[in-house]
Amino acid sequence: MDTGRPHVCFIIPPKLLRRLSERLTGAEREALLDTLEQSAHFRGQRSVTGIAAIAAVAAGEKRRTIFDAQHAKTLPGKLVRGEGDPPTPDQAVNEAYDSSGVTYDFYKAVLDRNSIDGRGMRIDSSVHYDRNFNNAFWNGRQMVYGDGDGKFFTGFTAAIDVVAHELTHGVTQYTVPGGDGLIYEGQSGALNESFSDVFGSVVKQWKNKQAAADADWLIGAGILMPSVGKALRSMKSPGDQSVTWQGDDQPGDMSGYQPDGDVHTNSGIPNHAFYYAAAGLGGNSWEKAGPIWYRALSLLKSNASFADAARATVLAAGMLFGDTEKAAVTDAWKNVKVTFKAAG
Amino acid sequence: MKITLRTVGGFTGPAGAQTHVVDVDELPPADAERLLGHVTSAVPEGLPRKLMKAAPQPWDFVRHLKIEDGETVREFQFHDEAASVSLRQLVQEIEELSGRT
Repeated sequence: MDTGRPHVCFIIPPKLLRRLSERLTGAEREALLDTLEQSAHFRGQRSVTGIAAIAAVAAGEKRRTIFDAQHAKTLPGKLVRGEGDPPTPDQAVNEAYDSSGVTYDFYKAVLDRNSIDGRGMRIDSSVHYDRNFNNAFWNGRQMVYGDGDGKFFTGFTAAIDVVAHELTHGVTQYTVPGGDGLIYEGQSGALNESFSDVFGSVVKQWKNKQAAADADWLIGAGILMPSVGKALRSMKSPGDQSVTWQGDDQPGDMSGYQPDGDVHTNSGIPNHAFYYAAAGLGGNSWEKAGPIWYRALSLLKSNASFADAARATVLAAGMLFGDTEKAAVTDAWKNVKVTFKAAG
Repeated sequence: MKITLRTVGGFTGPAGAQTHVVDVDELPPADAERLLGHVTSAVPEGLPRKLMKAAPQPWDFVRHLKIEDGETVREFQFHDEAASVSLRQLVQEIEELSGRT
């Protein structure tokens, strides 16, 4: 239906549209605000009015807010639990609350980071998104969890590494210089996925007080129906279907790199490099390997390649520790056949 | 005509792809006519096979659209934010009409 109003392409960033709307009046302003609402709808986001209200909340300490999407696709949904509120009868709500709290605590205690943006951003999560939704995602402002279809996947909030994975997409978005995070395609996209898997696993190990040598290094263990598999990915043994699931096609080194592969496929290579680094450095993954990878994030550009990540992590190892750690990280990338020239 | 829409992204990636299939021949006539109208306006001749954002983000799910019409098969890949309004409307229409497989 043609409303007679001007069509505005959604490629224009919402922030710019919002700014433009402030300069307009009458029908033109209404048309632009309509476009913003429609764009937000397509991205499954809350209305622009809601965004303004959320942004007005002052930054501070740990602040978790859990919403129930009530099986719809409009976000965030109905507010069901805020910071300090008692548990609800809904298990998914409590799991999202508890695991986002542990992830916040990890970033604060281990990496001295205050929430997703480093400035105390409120941690919003919506559970029960859509029906039979076999996924979880970060939408640029909040985390979103489906319940699974009961055939392939069960709920996604049950695994803390899923929650930490999604929250880390936000950390990446706010940490890589330039504001675009790691562009979600090609090698930078695979790195984006990998950093989320890395901190998903490290947060799980930190919570369980597990040394690198004792960890399972599985991502998404327990979210698949037992008939489908045990986990979605393995950082220790990418592509090993005996420990993951029958469709796992992740390569463990560059000999299996797929030039047009999905970011979730090629992420197996940097995932494996992190595993080798953590194993080589010994002890707990959050003591050296985790901080090195975290420090490297801010040394990357949004279009970083695997070689760039290798250089950045080696550099970070030198900045945070010393030659022994630099050598361990160098070996880790060599093990996965990523060739690079060390910086400086 | 058979239309298949596969959406990939998020935590699960291809493992959790949501697939919607619509067999136009099996739809009630009014639904079929409306859907074919959407296909005509959303997928004109010469539409590029890929309509991707310049700098996609983790929330940009990739849509894979396959239209099978007899011997003719047309396939497209796109992000919602790089697609036309009519293509996004077609996505909504397919999601509403199909049963998930």
